[in-house]
Formats: sequence, C-alpha cells, structure tokens
Amino acid sequence: MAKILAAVLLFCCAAPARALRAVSLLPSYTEIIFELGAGGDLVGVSNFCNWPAEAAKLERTGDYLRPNIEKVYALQPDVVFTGAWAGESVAKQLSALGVKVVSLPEEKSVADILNTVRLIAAALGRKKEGEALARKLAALAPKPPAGEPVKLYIEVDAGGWTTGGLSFISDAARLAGGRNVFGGEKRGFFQASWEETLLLDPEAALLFGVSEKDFLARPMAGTLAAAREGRVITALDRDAFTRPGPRLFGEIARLRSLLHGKN
Amino acid sequence: MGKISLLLGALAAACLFSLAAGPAGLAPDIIWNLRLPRTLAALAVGAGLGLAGAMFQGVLKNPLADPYILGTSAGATAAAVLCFLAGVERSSPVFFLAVFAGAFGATFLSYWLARLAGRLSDAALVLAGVAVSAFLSALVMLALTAARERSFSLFYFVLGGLYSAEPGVLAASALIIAVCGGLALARWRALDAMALGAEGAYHLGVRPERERALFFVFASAATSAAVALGGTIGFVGLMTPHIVRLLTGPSARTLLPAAALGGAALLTAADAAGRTLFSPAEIPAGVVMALAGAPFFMWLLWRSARGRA
Amino acid sequence: MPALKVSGLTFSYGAAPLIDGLSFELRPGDFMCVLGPNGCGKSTLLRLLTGWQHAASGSVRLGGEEVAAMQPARLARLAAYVASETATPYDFSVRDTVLLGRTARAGLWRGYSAADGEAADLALRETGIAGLAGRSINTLSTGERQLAFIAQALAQEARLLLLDEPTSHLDLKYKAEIMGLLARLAGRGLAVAAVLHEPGLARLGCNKALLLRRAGGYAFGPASELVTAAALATVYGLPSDSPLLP
Repeated sequence: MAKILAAVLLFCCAAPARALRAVSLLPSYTEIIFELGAGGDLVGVSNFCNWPAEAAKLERTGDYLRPNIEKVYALQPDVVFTGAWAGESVAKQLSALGVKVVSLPEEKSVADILNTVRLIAAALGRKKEGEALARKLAALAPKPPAGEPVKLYIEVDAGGWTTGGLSFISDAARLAGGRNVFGGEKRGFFQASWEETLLLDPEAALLFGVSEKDFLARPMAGTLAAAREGRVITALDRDAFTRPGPRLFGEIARLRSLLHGKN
Repeated sequence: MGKISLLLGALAAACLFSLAAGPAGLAPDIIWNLRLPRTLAALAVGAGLGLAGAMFQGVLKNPLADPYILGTSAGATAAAVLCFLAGVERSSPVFFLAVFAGAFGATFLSYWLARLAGRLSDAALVLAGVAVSAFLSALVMLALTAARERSFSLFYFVLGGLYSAEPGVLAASALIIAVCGGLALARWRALDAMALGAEGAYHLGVRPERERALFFVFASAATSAAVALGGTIGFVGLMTPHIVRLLTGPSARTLLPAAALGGAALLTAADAAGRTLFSPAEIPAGVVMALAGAPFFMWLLWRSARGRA
Repeated sequence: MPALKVSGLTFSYGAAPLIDGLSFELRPGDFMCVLGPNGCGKSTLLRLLTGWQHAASGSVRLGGEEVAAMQPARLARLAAYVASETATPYDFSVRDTVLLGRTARAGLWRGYSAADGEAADLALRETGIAGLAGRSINTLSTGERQLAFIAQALAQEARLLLLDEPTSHLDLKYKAEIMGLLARLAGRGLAVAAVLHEPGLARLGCNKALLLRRAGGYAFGPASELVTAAALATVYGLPSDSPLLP
C-alpha cells in the first residue's frame, strides 16, 4: 500500500505542472517565447508568425492589427501577449471575456526589447530563463564598437520609408556602430524625401524593401558616399532586423561586421 | 486672352516653386537631376488628370465626375497589387504596362457591364463603374490580407506619389496624355454638344454614341497613363475643371487646355508643398490634394447655395 | 418639291402599333400643328422624322433624300429640332448655346467663323432675345429658355423646323409670341411642324394639321377643316361643346 502511495506521489510530482496555454499576437513575442524554450506553451499565434518553423504549425489567430477575438477566446488561453500594434480594444475585449492579457509596451530601443523578454518570461513563470536569455542577447550587442560611427541610411520599405530616432531599429544601428542619418528626427516610421537623403550623404545604406540595382537607379544615387564605396547592404534578413525580437541581436552583430570589418 | 495668361502664370509659378524648393537650396545638380524630372512628372500627371476630369464631366454631364468614375483607379491598384505579389519591380516597364492595362481594362469592363445590362445611359455607366470599383477594391483588400507581407509602399501607391519617376515611364505617359489631349481638343465642339444630352447632340449633327466612346477612350487612356506614372492621386481631376470653368467658361475649346494647364499647376504645387513643408518627411501629393479638397468642396457647396438663394 | 415627305410610316413600342401607315407631305411655307391625346405618338413621330428613332417600315424623305440613309451632320443642315425640355448642366452663355446650332456647318474642330456669328446673331434677333446674349442659359426664365433653343435651331439654317411642345410651360404672352414667330418663319419659306397640346393655338398661324388618334389612326389636311370642335372632340374624347375646344 505504501509502495502504491509512493508511486502515485512520485508520479504526481514528476508530472509536469499543468502546461500553460499562451497566445502570442505579435511575431516578435512568438520568437521570444520559442527562444525561452516555452514554445510548447503556445497554442495560438498571429498569421505573420513564421519563425521558427514550429510556429507555422500553430493555430492562427488573425493579423496583429485586428486579431480574431473569438478565435483567441476559443483557444482557452491562460495568458495572451499583445502589444501597442493591436490597439487597446483587443486588450479590453479579451479582459472583459475573462482572459488574462499581458499588454507589452512598444519597444523604442534595444533595451526595451530585453525588457519585453523579461516581462514575457515572468508571465510564463520562467523568470530564470528570461534573465538568461536577456543576458545572452545583450552580450551579442553590448555597446557600439570603438571608433567613428558610420553614417547609415536605413530604408525599411521601398519609397524612402525610414525611421527616426524613436525606434529600436535606429538604436540597433547605433549598437552596430552606425548612426542613422535620420536619427535626429523625433519620430518613428516616416517617408523621407530623397533630396534630404542625398544631402545627408550616408556612408552606407541598409536596404530592406528594394534591390541594390533599383536603389542605384534613383536619380543622383551615384553621388552618395555609400554608392561610391560600394556599401549598399541588402544582405540582412528583413524579418529578423525589423522585428523587436531575439534575432535582431544576431543581425546587429552581422551589421557591425559589415560596417566595421571583423572587429 | 487674359485668362490663359493667368493660368500660364500660375503654371510658371508652380514650376519655379517645384524646382527651387528643397533642403538643398539652389544646387544646380539637384535641380537638374532630381527636381526637374519630378516636376515634369507632376506636370504630366496633373495635366492628364485635369484633362480626363474635364472630359468625363462633359460627356457624362455630371459635375461630380472625376477621372476614376468608371473604375480606373481600382483597376490600376488591382494591377499594382498583382505586380507586387508577383514580385515585379516598381521600376520595370512591366509594372507600367500592367497598371496601364489594369486601369484601362477596368474602364472597359464598366462600359461592357453597362452594355450587357442593356442600358448605356450615363447613370447606368456610373453605377457600373461603382460596382467595378467596389469589386476590384475588395479583391485588393483580400489579396493584401492573405499575403504574408505587408508593405506600406503599396498602400501609398493608392494615395499617389511621385517619389521616383523613371524617365522612360515619364516619356511614355506624357506622350499618351499629350496625344489624348490633342485628339480631344480636335473635336471640342462635340463635347459641348454632348452637354445638351445625346438627343440634343444628335439633332445638332453629332453622333452621340461615337463621340461618347471616343471621349471615354481619350479620357481613360490619359487617366491610365497618369496613374501608371504617379499612382492614384485624388481631387485633381475633380477640382481642376471646376476651378478653370470659373475662369474660361464651360466651352471645351478653352476648358480642355485650361484644365490641362490648371491641373499641371495644381499638382506640381501640391507635390512641391508635400516635399518641403515637413522636411525631411515627405507627404504624398495625393494627401496634400485631399487636404485641399475638403475646403474646396465646402466652397462649392457655399457657392451653389448662394446661387440658389 | 416637298420639304418633307412621309410615306407609310409604321412604328410600335410593343405589340400594338402606335403609328400605322402614316403618310403626309409638308411644303416650304407650311406650318403644321400635330394634335392628339397623350400617348398617341406625337413626340415619337417627331423623333421618327429626324431618325433619332427608327421606324419599323415606311420612309421619310427630307428634300428628296431618305432620312434613314443620312449622316447626322447632313440631317442637321436640313432639319432642326427643338425638344420640349433640354437639361443644361453647365453655364453656357445664351450666344454660345445658339452658336452650337452651327455644329453641323462648322465641323468639330475649327473656331466659329464670321458667318457663324452672323447666323447666331440673326437668330437671336428673330427670337427677340438679342439682349440676353451674354447671360448664362441657366439664369433664363422658361419662356426665354425656349426662345434660346428655338434660336439655336434657327442658327442651323435648316429648311424644316420641328418643335416638340414649344409652348407647354409658357404663359400666354410667350405662347402667342412663339406661335407668331413660327408663323413668320413659315411665311419666309421654312416648313414648320409643331406638336401642340392646345388646339386653340393652331389658329395663330397653322395652315395644316395632323390629328393623331390612338392605335395608329390619323387625319391630315388643312387646319381650317381639321381644327374644329367636331373633329377634335372625337380625337380627345371630349363632348363637342366643351369650352376647351375651338
């Protein structure tokens, strides 16, 4: 009898804690959750969550601007991670339905991303893993390399779409040893005039929405220092760099080596 | 004629503004290589849309007609989305041809639908245009929602912008617009006669069906060329004929050239303003036109109320 | 040579014939009134005469030429038509509206010549609205508007003038003025045909009359014989002593 009791007790303790059911409404949160080793907790992700490959097999809850509230509710999550993109009404509606919502603030700097990592980890009961991941990522991009930063033009989307200083992308460039030529602008995402870009004469161009050929075909593109020195970079992964997630840090390291050689 | 010189003066002022304004000041390189092509593009698109608006307003006898009334802009956007999804570059000639074909095709589709329904009255055509526009716009939304990528640059195609005008595209569009404008002007009296209705025009000695078809072709081609060059810029086609009609009167003989000049001046000024007012950010010309559009409509409303009082 | 010769004209909207085997002639100098109840085909007849609508059978000849085979520009030089109402969405001046009557002669692309201007000014004088030449057509009273469109038709310098209810919305003064104008024009050699709703007006100058009855019946002849209480009573379905009849 005691043996059976012991076996039952052992079984209960050895069984994993009831698996947490989490829904992530933004691709960057999905990536962080997987990096925390908590991918198994996820029961629903947004339509745009495409990394890692396992995320593609999860239930889709709609796009991140207008998630399907009913679908989210039907998945019976214990916690839903949402952010500034989805708007307040999503959080309000889900809370009203009794679902626990963790609303993460918009990341305006790289440090904010590490903060997001910790917040997500805490909500999933994995504080230790959160700290470890934050430390690991920070180590990939601790501080800008020594020397003069390279004047960098970042085009996130074709047609002159770039970011000002209030963006983690601008901050990421700084950590990679670059200086966003529009970093002085107190704004996030905006469309910059080509003439202004020419005047600022960036030494390197980081392009995501347009090919090098088309970029150089723009009027007077040849006069840019970036063009003359052949520093038109299209090699970075767009999703990795433009999402405030764990892959950004690896891309920062790649950008650093592209801008400053093997430092 | 004092009125035409007023318009020419406005056009010259707009061109000067467009060539001289910008953060680089009066640097000759920038003016020649950057601002000049952009100014020429704005002139061409503005002229094309102004002409098309005047033609549609005349032939449909509808003062609220604009160049997109028969589905032209929806067709252009649908074609642009298809190109985008297929990976066609914005700068390639395939893009230009596809957008032109899409715009023109949508117009033709509206005409054909109205004809199928057996009713080619102006109201039926406008209804068909509304149906085609709605359907194509819904398709575009569907495609964008289903697509894995989300691109701001495509949405801003819809608002219209002259960010990078390719010289080949500029030349092709300008040529089409000039030819259509010239051919339309060469039968200006038919457009005036059409304003009295199909029956009235017939009894004056004009073939209403043929003239309507011809003007539709000219106006749609000009619109399609303008949209392929600068995206779907709103209000120019609608506002310009009303403004110049006040100056030159409604006869197509003066209205058509005035609408071309006026549209060119308006859009060039709007584009230059959008480029410089919030530097370094660039507001698309279509947004500037829309901002100007609301007060314009209030003014039209006030004016017609005053006329009735 | 008759200005207008109609033979065996037949037309129907549905199964029943509206106009059946209609034949008549108009010579220069004739002023014909077309009378009949609503729906008997008066307006339709005018449209068949100009070719805007096509008859099922029969022929309409203008100055010897078959209308069905004519180009619209040629037709407009021979026959002018004034509708009962024309919408004018844009503010053309009265003179420009009248000048549009020169379309068939001026072509589509050239400016107006001195001859065009003279014809327009003459038409304005004849209709008595020369003083309104510079005003917008949309600022005119109904009577003045009607005169403007008659002037437009006159500017065409055609030999046949067809009018659809030219006096229907007008006061007595304008009714008299327009009938007088049409009689004068007929006196100068035009052939005029006008659809009228008031038989009494026919006495202001008509020498011929065409009475249309329902289902295709008709009578054509001198106005003095046909515009009588007895003939009209059957056509309109009124008692022959009705005060509405002449």
